[in-house]
Amino acid sequence: MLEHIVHILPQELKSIVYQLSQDIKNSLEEIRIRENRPLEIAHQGSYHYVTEQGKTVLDSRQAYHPTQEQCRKLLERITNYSLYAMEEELRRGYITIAGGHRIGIAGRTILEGGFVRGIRDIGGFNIRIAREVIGASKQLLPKLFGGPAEGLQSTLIISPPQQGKTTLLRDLARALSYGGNRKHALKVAIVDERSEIAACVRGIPSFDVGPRTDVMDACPKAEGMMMLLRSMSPEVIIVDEIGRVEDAVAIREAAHCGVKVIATAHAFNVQEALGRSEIRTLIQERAFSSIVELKRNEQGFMHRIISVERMLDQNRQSSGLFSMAKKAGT
Amino acid sequence: MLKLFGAVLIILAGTAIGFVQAASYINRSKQLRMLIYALQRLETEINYGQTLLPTALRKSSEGIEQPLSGLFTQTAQLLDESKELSMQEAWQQSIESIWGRTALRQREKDVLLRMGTVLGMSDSEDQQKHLQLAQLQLKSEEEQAVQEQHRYANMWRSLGTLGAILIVILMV
Repeated sequence: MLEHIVHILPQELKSIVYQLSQDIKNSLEEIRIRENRPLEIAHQGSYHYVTEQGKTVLDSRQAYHPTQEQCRKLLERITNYSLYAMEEELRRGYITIAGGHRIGIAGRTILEGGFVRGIRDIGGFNIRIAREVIGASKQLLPKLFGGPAEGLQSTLIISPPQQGKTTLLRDLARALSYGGNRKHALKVAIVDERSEIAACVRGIPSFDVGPRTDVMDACPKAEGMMMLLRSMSPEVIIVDEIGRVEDAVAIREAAHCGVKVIATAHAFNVQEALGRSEIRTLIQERAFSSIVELKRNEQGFMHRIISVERMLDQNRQSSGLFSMAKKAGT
Repeated sequence: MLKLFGAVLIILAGTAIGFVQAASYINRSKQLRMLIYALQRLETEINYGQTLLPTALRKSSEGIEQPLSGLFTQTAQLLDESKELSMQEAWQQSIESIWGRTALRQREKDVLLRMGTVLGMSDSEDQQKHLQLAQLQLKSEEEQAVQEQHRYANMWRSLGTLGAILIVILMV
């Protein structure tokens, strides 16, 4: 898992990472490298500084301080010696490397007309280790299908940050694309605005997202959905973190074409999600048939599935506003 | 008989020395031209193609001859293989390894070494400026080299033969 990361590190940092205990290596989440400042790692939700011998300490003065030379070498390797080819990535502030790991960078920005054009004098790196959890969607997947006659349903996955939405989404794409288990394989299309789901490196997914999956990488969600609808004739579109007006338009368009959408949204629960007007409208229009609330704990993913139809029914009974809408409808 | 044979040998050797000297002038201007051509190619690859540097270096080496093409291919190889060298170090190492086989001089070497310190590690606009600056400097060297070639290449050729004849006459 760490080989892609170790590969890009300069010699000194490489040997430090090798000397970390196996336990930490397995649960490593982030390596933070700042020029002439203490080397830091994050694992299992906590953080430590690291000494030259690969020991974890809490006192920053004992920690190893990466030099300017090492930071320059690291940057060269991350960008494959071609910073000029990474302008788009620098504008976004991170670079995805082979293995799907994302390296956030901080430095002095270059402005052009008030917009960030790039970053120079880069002095801080945050290497975020991506982990692929194959089978993460195993329990959820059968529930996304309606009755035996119906196929996959459009689904909105709701959860707070850091709960594994993206991991789940990636595994869903993979599982749907492979099919198997009496389900036939579907044509899957992913719009991967932040290169998180498939973690493409030069257009090729780093993660296994399935054999029948097309990825539109680093593309704005709404535009990407429209492009995929036109060009790749998908059966299901997978998209991360919807919420803007354009996204809603694209999802409606997909629904009209009979294409199912699996999307995620940032929210703690359904009530909060309904507070966001675009999402509320989409739900009321039944663009999604079910909503999944996601939580993560030690055992794995926990989820609660809510049928949109039933939820709206209940709302109608309890709220006058909705009952009037129903009358008008019938 | 033996004397005649020796005289012919001396004249041949003298002519050869003259031609070798002349060739170094001709080679110098030719190699400078190739180098400028390769840098132009590199500039295009970097600026318009946004090609990654190792690939861009390899492409620039196409169409130019050894030993200069070795400068580009060797750097690309060093970058791909050893992950311990920085771009600057790899470039420097390649320059050192081929320099003995070229007809180029210290000034050109300085231009290339200076270029190596920035190659790849800034945005494409900046890369373009540095590459153009290097080309400009090499171009002025090339003009000078062509002038020298005109002036000295023929001179060395005749000088070699004439010098050898002089030695033969003196010895007889």
